[in-house]
Amino acid sequence: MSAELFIPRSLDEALGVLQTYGSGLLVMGGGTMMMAHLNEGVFFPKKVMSLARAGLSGIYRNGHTQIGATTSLSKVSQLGDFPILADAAYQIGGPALRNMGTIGGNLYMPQPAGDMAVPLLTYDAHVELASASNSRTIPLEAFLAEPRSRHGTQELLVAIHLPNPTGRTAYLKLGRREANTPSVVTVGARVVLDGQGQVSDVRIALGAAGSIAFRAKSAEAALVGQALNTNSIADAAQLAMEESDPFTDALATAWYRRRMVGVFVKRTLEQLVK
Amino acid sequence: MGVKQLGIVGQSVKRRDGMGHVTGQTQYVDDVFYPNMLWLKMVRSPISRGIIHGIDTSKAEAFPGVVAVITAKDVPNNWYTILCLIGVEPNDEPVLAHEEVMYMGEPICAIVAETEAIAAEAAALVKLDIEELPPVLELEFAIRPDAPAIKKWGNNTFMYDGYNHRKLRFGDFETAIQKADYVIEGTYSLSPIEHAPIETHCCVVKPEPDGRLTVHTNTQALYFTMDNTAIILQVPSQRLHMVGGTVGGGFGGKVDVITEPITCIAAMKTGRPVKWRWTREEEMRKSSTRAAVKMQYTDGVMNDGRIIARKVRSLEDAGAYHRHSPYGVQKHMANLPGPYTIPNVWVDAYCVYTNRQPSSAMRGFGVTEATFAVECQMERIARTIGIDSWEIRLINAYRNGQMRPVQKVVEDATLIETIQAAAELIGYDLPSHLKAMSSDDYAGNGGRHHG
Amino acid sequence: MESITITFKLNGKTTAVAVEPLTSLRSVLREHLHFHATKAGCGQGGCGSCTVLVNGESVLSCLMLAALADGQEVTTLEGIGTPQHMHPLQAAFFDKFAAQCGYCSPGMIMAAKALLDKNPHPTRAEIAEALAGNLCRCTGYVAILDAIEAVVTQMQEA
Ligand SMILES: Cc1cc2nc3c(=O)[nH]c(=O)nc-3n(C[C@H](O)[C@H](O)[C@H](O)COP(=O)(O)OP(=O)(O)OC[C@H]3O[C@@H](n4cnc5c(N)ncnc54)[C@H](O)[C@@H]3O)c2cc1C
Ligand code: FES
Ligand code: FES
Repeated sequence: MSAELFIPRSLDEALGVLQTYGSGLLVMGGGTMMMAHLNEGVFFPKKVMSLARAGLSGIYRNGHTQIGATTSLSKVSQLGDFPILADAAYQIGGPALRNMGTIGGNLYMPQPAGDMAVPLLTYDAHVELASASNSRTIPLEAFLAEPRSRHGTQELLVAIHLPNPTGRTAYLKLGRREANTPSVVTVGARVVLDGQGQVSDVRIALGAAGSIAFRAKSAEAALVGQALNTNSIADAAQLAMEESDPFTDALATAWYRRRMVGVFVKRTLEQLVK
Repeated sequence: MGVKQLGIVGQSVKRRDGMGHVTGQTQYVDDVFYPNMLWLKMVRSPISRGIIHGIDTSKAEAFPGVVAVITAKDVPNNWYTILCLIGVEPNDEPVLAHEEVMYMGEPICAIVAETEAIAAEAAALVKLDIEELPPVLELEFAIRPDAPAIKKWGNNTFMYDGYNHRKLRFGDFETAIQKADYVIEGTYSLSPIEHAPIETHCCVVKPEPDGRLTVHTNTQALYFTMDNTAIILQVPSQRLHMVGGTVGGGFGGKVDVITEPITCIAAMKTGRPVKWRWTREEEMRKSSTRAAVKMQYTDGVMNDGRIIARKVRSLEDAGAYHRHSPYGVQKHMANLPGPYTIPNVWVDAYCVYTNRQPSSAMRGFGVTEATFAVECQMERIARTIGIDSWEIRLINAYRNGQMRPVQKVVEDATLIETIQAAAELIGYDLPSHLKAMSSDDYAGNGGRHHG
Repeated sequence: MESITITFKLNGKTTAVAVEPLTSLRSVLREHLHFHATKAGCGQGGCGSCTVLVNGESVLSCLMLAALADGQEVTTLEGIGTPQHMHPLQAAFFDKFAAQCGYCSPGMIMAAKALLDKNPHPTRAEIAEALAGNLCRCTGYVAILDAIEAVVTQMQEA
């Protein structure tokens, strides 16, 4: 049962293929996850589209930063002005995997993968989605909350948009090994301090601590107006633990993940006290 | 006798196969291709325990590119156990399951097709009608009298001379433990461990015009595999031309005779070369593992650190079938007291069956697990009675001439000297009475010299 | 069977092959063109034994659609040296006992080559990071790091 492969040369062409085959089409960014499923015989798609040549790769600056959906994790790991985005990308897989995996595909990965969402949430990212008939740009948070199936999609992720960053940032990933390991938990934080050294704006994002990556909003709220110190950090870590709804998998139990959320929120925020 | 000039000992010698490895010229089994070769994929049990009511292969057989479908009835001698070669009984494992399934991933039906992708897709079309039964997954539960018996002989343990565990009795534990200054207990558990070789299981079989089969396999045990394959196929072993020796990592995980018989049957049935290679997921989840074990120690120890009594109860998880476990537990039993001279020993070692993927050989299996528990327990003893970690071991270490619980007199002991050398290597200055100890300082009449 | 034709440079030679559309680059190399040095340890991106270079960048050939190699330059272990003329990395792996069963070696060497082509003077830590995606179950990584470090030292001295 031979399959058909489409390698469109433009976004428009890609959207046309998507419109023709709809949810019967399997879309690949870098294919690092989808090819693994094909190799293992998890499913047997008949129509596949690779976005590798659709012109969706590249980083552009125009008052804000735009990252094309198929930009490789290697390229993202070199983004000097978004240090924790770069760092989070660098901590995924090994060099060869990062040369292939895309930032767009990463945002479709079920937890505990999908590490890119955590720094992107802290940077207030928006995502641009398109179908043949429509295009929309929505906050990443809203995108992550939308239901999706493992294959088959109504629209394509075209780009990620980032406002110019403010404040200090930190990111930590806990895995079972030093490198090339899925996340037990990940924590990203960005803090803007006012003249008195008090927190005027803050983002704390958690990965592998729930069914999707999310912002720990009660922890964030508790920090606003406070100085970053042992007490305020401990309170925020406690609230983040309570906001988490982690899961058990082969890497870690929900019990352990919740505790590690506390430990790693604390360590991440401590990095911001300088 | 004077020291002879040793030709090669003490010199660094290049690996004979090293150049082939680094230039990619070494031929592993998956590098063997024949024209007209077919590919095999296995339909496996999706559940841990159940009764097979039906295997509907019609859709798979009709799938374009499928050449053969193999089920239990195609296997000349379906019930076997690999250690039948050394007398282990009864045959408890089917090559292909047909009555019941005993673990998740158990092979049921093989699909042979023109390409690997076709075989995989057709395998997904086989309809299994299996009535699910509650699985037995936990060691302590498995040996309870009210646990469902998953083995045909009516319980969930291997039977050693009529007992449901392997016994070791030496001295008089019950009396000795009463006299001990301390009774120290410890329980030690290990999870199963997967060998995870980078090369997965693979077998290629080519039927030859003279009726022989050329079998390329990455087994770690070529002749053992040949004998077992011949038994399963019911052919004389000279019909099998075994080609092996190049293994991309084994660590004990490639001695189960798990790919060769079915690949041979596929080649015999189709008259064409056939390759069966496992996916990484099959390697991780279906190949055998090191056994999970739970070991409980009760030791009687004197104030001076001498262990005078040791009782061990150990449960080893064989998974669904024997494989190498009955023998592994035998070794395990012998090693549970540790390399220490303890005059009163009692060991009950159970080879327990559960509905988990079978466990089997892996690097010192049975022994390594026991060593882990023994050395943890030695530390516990040292801390409980407040004695040095080196001393507790040196006091109790085997001496030449002493009797081991397995009724063998110790010869060529080196534990004391090894510990002393280790201390020196890490720059730890042992106290002089420990430095003075030697494996030869046993007086012989039940007394001990402590340096 | 619907097949597609892919044309690419394999170890410097223009090569054309007709395959099923969803075939991975690894399958094309191993099963269609019979370049067996590239190994197949997992098919899931997890082991790195299938690492090859595409336009000089390391990729996991099991996760790459062969169709995307069309028009590109692919380098495998066979392309960098032979038993008669070993690449310095191959010679060092042989010399320093960095290959035991050898199944990971092709991927290790290609990952190391990708690193040295970009950064000829990496630190030991940088070498280790470059091998993050390559698993060895036998040798131990120390011998492998030693071998690559030996090549770095040779290049510095040369
Ligand atoms: C060895 C290994 C290690 C890994 N480690 C990590 C890790 O540490 N952290 C982590 O987060 N991930 C990890 N991953 C998972 C994954 O490879 C990465 O998340 C990668 O970024 C996924 O991107 P991709 O483009 O390759 O995905 P693909 O496989 O191409 O696609 C993944 C999903 O996204 C969809 N998709 C892709 N692009 C688009 C688009 N533009 N529009 C619409 N849908 C799209 C696909 O349809 C599919 O459902 C790892 C994978 C491997 C093999
Ligand atoms: S075979 Fe490609 S990474 Fe393992
Ligand atoms: S040498 Fe065997 S896996 Fe590396």
